[in-house]
Amino acid sequence: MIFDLLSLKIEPFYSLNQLNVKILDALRQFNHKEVIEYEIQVQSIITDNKKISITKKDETQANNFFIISLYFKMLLHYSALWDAMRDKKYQETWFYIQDCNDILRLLKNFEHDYNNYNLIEIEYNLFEIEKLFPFTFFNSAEMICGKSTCSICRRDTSNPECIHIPGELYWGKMAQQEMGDIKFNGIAILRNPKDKRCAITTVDGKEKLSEDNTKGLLLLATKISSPYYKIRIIETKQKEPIFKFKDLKKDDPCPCQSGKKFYQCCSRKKRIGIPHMKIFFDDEFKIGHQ
Amino acid sequence: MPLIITDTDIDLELFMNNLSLEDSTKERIRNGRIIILPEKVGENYTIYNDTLNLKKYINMTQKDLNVQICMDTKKITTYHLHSGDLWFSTLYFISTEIGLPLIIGIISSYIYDKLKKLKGEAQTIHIKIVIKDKKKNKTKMFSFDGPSEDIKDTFKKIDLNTIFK
Repeated sequence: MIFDLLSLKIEPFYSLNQLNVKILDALRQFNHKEVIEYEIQVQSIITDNKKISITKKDETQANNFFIISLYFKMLLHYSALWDAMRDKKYQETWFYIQDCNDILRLLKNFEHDYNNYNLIEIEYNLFEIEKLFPFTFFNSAEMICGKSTCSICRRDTSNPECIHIPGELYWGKMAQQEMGDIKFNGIAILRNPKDKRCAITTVDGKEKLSEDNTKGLLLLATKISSPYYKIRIIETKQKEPIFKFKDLKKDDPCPCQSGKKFYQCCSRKKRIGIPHMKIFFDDEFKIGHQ
Repeated sequence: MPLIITDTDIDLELFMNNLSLEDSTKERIRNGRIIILPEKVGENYTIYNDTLNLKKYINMTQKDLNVQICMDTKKITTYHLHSGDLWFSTLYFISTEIGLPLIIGIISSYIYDKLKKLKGEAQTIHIKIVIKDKKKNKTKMFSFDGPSEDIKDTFKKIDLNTIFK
């Protein structure tokens, strides 16, 4: 739908398509400043035209503008993550990945041509980049909400008169629940949270972003020449001779990252398998019509 | 096994009495074909937030299936876990009123249509379905805790006639 509309030779789609070409080109060159400039123009065109659609009582078109707006926001976050990664701001990179994922999840719901437009390639790249981060545990809030208001009709969401389903589009807006009267029950530590922004650092500091465990991100940012390359990260074990670890003490964590002490794990082996990641850049992909 | 079937003594009237519901609420619930039973969290009863959205989805797609929450409307609270798993409160219905495959079909469609997942994301569903067979005066609880893509196939193998024998 998105690119069918953008390929129309009528305004505002013609202008939006021109800006799309410019954004994709700026993104290719990792020029985030330019992406931001074009993005501002895009969102302004979309806001104006969404208002016009609502005035004309054309709900479908208003919703279409919402979906197009999501696509451009996703490009902005995708650009921002590469900018942050190249700047060695890895925590920010992580947040931008999550921003992109949030939008891709919505686009997957709304855009039937998601796979055909190669948005799935961005999704796969984000999945691969996440592997380069040391995070495995996340905080997650557990709460009971006494009030839940619909963002569309302002009624209580449990009121049978409220027909709006969160995540559905109504007149160019997405229905959301606005929670109130919140009582926090606790915080859970999970591997599979709804929101991966609250990554936690383990007591031994292994999951803290340090120079040591962000080497993969540094390598990726240095070697990749375009964000449209399909990234493939393969986790292997590289055998290292035992003499390389002669300075390790018995109680030190084993370098094979089993979580055991060195003495109880690989200290008697001739070679130790060290976790190793190989980054491959496959073919370039093109966003939009193939 | 993601599915566990057990006998249960859950009785809707008793449940409503235990919650000290208002008479008008009880009447509303008795007219429902699917009843959402709240969970006890600490001292309070509450429903998993995903269930509220599922209720709206059912209302939108299957207008004749009257879904009711077993709580006084003004006292409904929602329970949020913010985990990647999907938690639903217990769904209760009478076997002669609705077929189990219909309910499972709706739940799977809701998950497939509305809760798309990205590469690498695991989506585990936690749901309890309580079915009462009035003729045999038996009530069974079906507790499913497993991958979302397995729910349809797992329940497909269930034959209620055999289970309520």
